[in-house]
Amino acid sequence: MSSKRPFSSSLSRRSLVQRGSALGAGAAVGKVALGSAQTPAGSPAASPVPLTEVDQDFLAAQEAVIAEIQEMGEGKTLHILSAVVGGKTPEEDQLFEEEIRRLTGIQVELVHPTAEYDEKMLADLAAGVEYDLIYMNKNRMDVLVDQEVLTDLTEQINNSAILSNPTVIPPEEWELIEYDGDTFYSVFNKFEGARMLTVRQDWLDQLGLEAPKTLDEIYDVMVAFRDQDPAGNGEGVTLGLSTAGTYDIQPFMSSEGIRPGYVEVDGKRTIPYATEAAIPVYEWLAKLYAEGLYDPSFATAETADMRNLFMTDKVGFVTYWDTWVGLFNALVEQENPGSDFQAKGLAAAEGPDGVIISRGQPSVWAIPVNAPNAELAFKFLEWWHTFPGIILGSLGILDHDYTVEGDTYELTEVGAEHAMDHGVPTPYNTNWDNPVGELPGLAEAQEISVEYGYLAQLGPQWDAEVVPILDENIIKTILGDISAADAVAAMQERLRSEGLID
Amino acid sequence: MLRHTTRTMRSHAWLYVMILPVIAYFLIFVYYPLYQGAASSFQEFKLLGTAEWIGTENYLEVWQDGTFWQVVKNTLLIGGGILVFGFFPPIMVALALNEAATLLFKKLAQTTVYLPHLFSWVVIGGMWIFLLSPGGGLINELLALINVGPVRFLTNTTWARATMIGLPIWKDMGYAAIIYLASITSINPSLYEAARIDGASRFQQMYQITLPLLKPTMKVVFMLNILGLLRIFDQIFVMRNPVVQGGIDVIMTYVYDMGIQRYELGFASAISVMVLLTTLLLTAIVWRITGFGRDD
Repeated sequence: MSSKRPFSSSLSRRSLVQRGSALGAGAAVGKVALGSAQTPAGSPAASPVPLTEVDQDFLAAQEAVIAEIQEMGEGKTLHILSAVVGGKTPEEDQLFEEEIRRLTGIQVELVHPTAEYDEKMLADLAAGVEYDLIYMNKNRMDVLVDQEVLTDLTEQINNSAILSNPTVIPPEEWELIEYDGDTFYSVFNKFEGARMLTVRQDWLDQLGLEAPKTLDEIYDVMVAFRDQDPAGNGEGVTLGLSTAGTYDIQPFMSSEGIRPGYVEVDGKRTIPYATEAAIPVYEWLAKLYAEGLYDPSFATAETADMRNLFMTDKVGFVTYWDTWVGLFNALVEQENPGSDFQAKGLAAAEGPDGVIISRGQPSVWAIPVNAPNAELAFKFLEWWHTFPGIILGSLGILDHDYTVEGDTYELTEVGAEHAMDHGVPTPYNTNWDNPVGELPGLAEAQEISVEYGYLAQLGPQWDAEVVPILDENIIKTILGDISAADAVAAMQERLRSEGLID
Repeated sequence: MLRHTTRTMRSHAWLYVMILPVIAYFLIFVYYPLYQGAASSFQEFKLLGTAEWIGTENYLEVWQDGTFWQVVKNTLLIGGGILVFGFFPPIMVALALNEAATLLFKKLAQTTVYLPHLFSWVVIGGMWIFLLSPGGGLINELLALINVGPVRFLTNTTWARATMIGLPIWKDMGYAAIIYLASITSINPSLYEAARIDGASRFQQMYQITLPLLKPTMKVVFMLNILGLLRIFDQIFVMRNPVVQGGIDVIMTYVYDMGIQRYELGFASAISVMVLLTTLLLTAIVWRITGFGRDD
């Protein structure tokens, strides 16, 4: 955990885990069920989860953490500020709090804003509101570390039998959130997947087309979707592609070997999206727009608009998170049982460097320096990576989102709507096997994420300062307002003048 | 003298006690935050712990910031547009409503024009983004019927500015119209009766009686609009997008971006203080020019 973070990182979760298992001295692997002694009485995890290969060190550590948290949490309250972890409504947030209490004995006050999360976090911290745990992404963490708001957790993490276990969190993953080579201020929330090109596989099948691999092939398929009308929208109506602004055009940038974020070249900070190498891709996207293949409202569209177009047969391709491949299929099936709808993750257009897609920035939990119950908060983070914690973060709340009979887990109607996402749809812990099974198409999409996911180097200025400059010029190019060459020149000029590139 | 004042205060002690909660309210919820904001404009912001005093550094930074002057220009264009083009429509609506033939129609029309004011910009903005969309939006569909467009209302800077001027005028027209309408109904009916006896037409009555007597209300509404001129935020925040952001971002969205997105709260506070002082100055100038508060 102390090695310097590489400037770029292409992740292979499986290889990391295999390496991690090998590193884990004394890790006896075998078929083990989670025994009742390891969880509070009455917990669903008291029933055996499906048998899987479970690391014995992890099991022992898990048992200890579950016992310790019960002891430490008695009569104490944790104040948690959360963006994605919790219920889907205020009522469910309350059930979520009660479920944590049932499982750990800890009273929880969950603050779960429905929007403007970063603003809420900043306002509360500035006002001196005391939280024990705060959820954030890596970019925000960079700012808060700089502001000396977060507690140094290095020693606790190193001494944690759960968190330092390589089968729980692969060692190389920790490098993504370390500072100065050996300091940690947070613990992961979940494994972050990647965003990829996703296609209507049923339309491909219907038209007898192969999955496209290059920009030209993708273009041909879009034309076929529009002109041969597999959706029955009427000839010339079906769109080829929808995105929310330029989020996320990386699957197309991949065709030129362009990486997202910053890339260091000869010791200088560069942004490949603002280089001449990107011009052919921008011209290709502008061609899609000019020919009516690209959603004409993409510049003002939200991701929800894009998702709706995809699920209502209006568009053939979107670029979105791997998890949503499964969610698209599950949601359409639930809305329209027996539908032919089939979303499939395709990764990206192949380029000179193969396939490059964007992996999500780490999402983490941190403990502010003014946390009233810092020790208990850290114990909770350890618990969050045990099976009961993972069940809560994925399946959700017992008898609300899922039921258990014997060793059979079943989602309720509400649970099916929530699609096994209560903040941790994809946990890190490799000992864990989802007892309900995966969403259709998800496992395949996650394989793609693991194989091709590239974690961009962004930094604290990226979202607020770099993205607006890129967005403005790229969208103008796609709309045909300026040429791709002019857009790149404008991006270069502004980024350099504002000291955002060297 | 002092003894007299003390005696007077004692004799009205209960009145002063009754005022205390109001004074406390303003001190706690208005003036203390105002002081904190002003103080932080002279500090280097820290989320937790003691902030460092850095004098006028934030103000100098604001002064030298090119984006700040761009958003000032945008604010004056958009705010000025709303001020100028938004001034007369409510008066016309109020006059028209006053002439409505039946009470039912008047109430229906009044409710209809007032309704948009009741909705938040989140709702109104989302609705208009959809209506103005080049891909299936109602406005562009209607324009297509006469072979116009599609018009990129929200991704072309000129159109976007016009939209940012037009929508608030439409949204708040009903509110101002009701103020004018209330003022019209308070005009002494005997003035109209006398005019009718003298043979004045309805238009003459409107021009010679109603409009002159609406002047004090016009001053109030204009003053209120001046107070809000530099504080435009909601509609821009909800409806902006990367393509037109440089052309429609206003001072308050810039304050938000700098303070909340970039955590430059000292810088953002400095802009806020400048906006406050400029608004005070503008109001004083308008007060002076219009003779606001003086008998007409």
